[in-house]
Formats: sequence, structure tokens, C-alpha cells
Amino acid sequence: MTQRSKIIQLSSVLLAVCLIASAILLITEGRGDLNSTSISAISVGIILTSALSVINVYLSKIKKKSDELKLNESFFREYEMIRDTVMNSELPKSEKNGIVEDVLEMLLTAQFNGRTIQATVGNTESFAKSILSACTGKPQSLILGFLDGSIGFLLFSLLISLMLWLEDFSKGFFNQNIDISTVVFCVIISFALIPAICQFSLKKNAWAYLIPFVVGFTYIGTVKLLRSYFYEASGVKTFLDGTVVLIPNIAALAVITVVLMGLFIARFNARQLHLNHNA
Amino acid sequence: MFSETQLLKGILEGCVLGILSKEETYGYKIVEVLVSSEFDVNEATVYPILLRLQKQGYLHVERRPSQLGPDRKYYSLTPTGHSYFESFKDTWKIIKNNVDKVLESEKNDTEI
Repeated sequence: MTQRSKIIQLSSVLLAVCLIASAILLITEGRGDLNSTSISAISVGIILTSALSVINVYLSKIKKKSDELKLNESFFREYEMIRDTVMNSELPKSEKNGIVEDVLEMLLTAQFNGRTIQATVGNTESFAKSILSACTGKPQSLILGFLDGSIGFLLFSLLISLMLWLEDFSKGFFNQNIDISTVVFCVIISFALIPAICQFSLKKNAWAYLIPFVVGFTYIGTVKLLRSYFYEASGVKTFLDGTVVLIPNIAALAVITVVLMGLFIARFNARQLHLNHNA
Repeated sequence: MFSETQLLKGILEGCVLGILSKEETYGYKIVEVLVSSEFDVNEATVYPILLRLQKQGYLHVERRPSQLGPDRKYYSLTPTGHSYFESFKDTWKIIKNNVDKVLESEKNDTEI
């Protein structure tokens, strides 16, 4: 296992442990005002999803396929980076698989003929970028990034409302108050963290995969700091304790659904334009 | 020192077309031919060129089983690819001729 694989697996395990710990805390400490059966069901769901996500990371990113086992360590290290970059790109799935297969065949042939990885690919990052550039014109467009962020944020909003509703049916789906600080965190995740994580596969430094923890703990630390020292400052109290109802009624839900569908269509069209840029 | 990179981009594309105009072959062989002609290239240079030419419809691709594992891609020129190669050769002749003229005239000026 390469250092990169170890870090990716470690990052997935750490995330899962954090989520599982939160779920266990929710079960053991509970909240008097909430239905314990709902809490247990949600917690078990979180624990199962976390465990499955670790297995998914292992199977999709860590476990080598039979042909990949033929690459020696230095060839595999570079292949892994190219593969992850291509798989995280905007290309259609069949094209991604075709390119990854081409690269694997190319590296196996070079290794078989006694060439070094350095002589074969030179700078791996440039090579990965040039492959994407040959297919799309540029690695990622700003419009696509914005559309992805918007879709992510709306899905987060729907998911949070759904989770809160499952915790406590009595309040009703359209009466769920969400903390403003949570909404801000969702905006950071959708528009900054996820796009940044997608770019990490292009970087040699795999420690960048641990950045979600840094962002998470920094955010929690900032919130704690604000609560301890700046609570009375203008706007801080609202940010920390204020709540909003993201989906107040059926009309809002309908609007969100229509916007979401529109964003999906816009994203599909933008992606097609992006892919046809150099075709 | 003069950077070869920009100048090489278009020329390499033409050379790849030239190799494929003679025979159907795969990526590693194309690199070998180019290296034997003293081009400083590797698979990372040639693969994106093949990908681009394929997307533009100049190459026909066939996947065949390989002893090493994954199927190997064999490339050949499509009729459009042949026309494109002919236009590259014409353009190359004109450019080569023009550059030679300029370089020759510089040489004559220096001698005078």
C-alpha cells in the first residue's frame, strides 16, 4: 500500500470514527424532547453508512485490481495519482474508464520494456492535466463548480430538514429550525471544501486529504471562541444562536425542487459544452 | 536557450500522423519510432496527442488483447486523418522552405 493509499484510508476511517462517535453520543446522551426510537434509527443509519463508506473507499481506491498488481511500486504510485485525477474529472464514466485502462496498459508496457517511471511519464501532474486538457480543453470550469456548489447546498438543506424531521415528527417537516452557523458551514462545505477535495487528487501531497478535519475542527474552534469571548458583539449572537426555517412550506419545497432540477439540467448542458470545448 | 516545447507541439502531431499513415500501431511503438528519430519524447507526450487526434476523428482505434493484461489500443488513420496528414505535409513544406530562406539570407548577410 502506498503512502497516498494509507492517508486516504486513514482519512476515511477518521471521518467514520467521528460520525460514529457522534451517533453513539446521540444514543447514550439522548435529548429528552426527542423520540428515542427515531434517534436510535438515525444513529444506526449513520453508523452503518460510516462503516460502509470506509469499505467503499477501500474497494474503490485502495484495493488493487488484478492488472494493477502487475505494476511495481514506483509505477503504481504515479498510476494511482493519474487514475484518481481522471476519475474525479468531469468526463463521462465510460471515457474515464477507457483512459484509465489506456494509462494502465501504457505503464505496464513501459515497465515490461525496462523503462523507468520517470522516463515514461516525466511530471505526473502535468501528464494528468494534459490528458484532461486533450479531452475537455481545461480541467474544470468555474460555471460547473458554481452549479455543483449550488446543487450540493440545496441537497444539504433538504437532507438536514429531513434528518431533523425524522428526529422529531411532531414538529412537522415544514417547521424545522436550522442553526444559522450550520447553514454557513453547509455553504463552506458546498462551495469551498468539496471543490477543494476534488482538486486534491492532482496534488502529490496526499496529506491534503486530511484537510476536511482541519476545516471541521477550525470551524468548531472558531464557534467556541466566538461564544466565549465575542458573544455580545453585533451579529455574533445571531450567528451562534439564530435559526432559520429553510423549507417553511410546500411552496418552498416545490421551488427548491424546481430550482434543483433546473440546476441539474444547467449542469448537464454546461458539462456538454465543457466537454465539446475542444472537440 | 530556445525552448523546443511550443515548436514541437504541432510538429509531433504531424509526425504521429506520419507514423500512422504507414502502419497501424500502438502507443509504445509510436514513442519508440519518435525516440529512434532523436525526438526527446515519452508516453506522456504522445498519449495526449493520440487522444486529441482520436477525438477529432483523425484516428480509428481498435482494442485488442495484450499479453500484459488490459486490452491494447491500435491506432490507424481514418480517411479524414489521411487528408489532415496531407495538409500537414503541405504546410510543413511551406514553413520549412520559408525558415530555410530566412536562415540562409542571415547566413549570406553575415558572410558579406
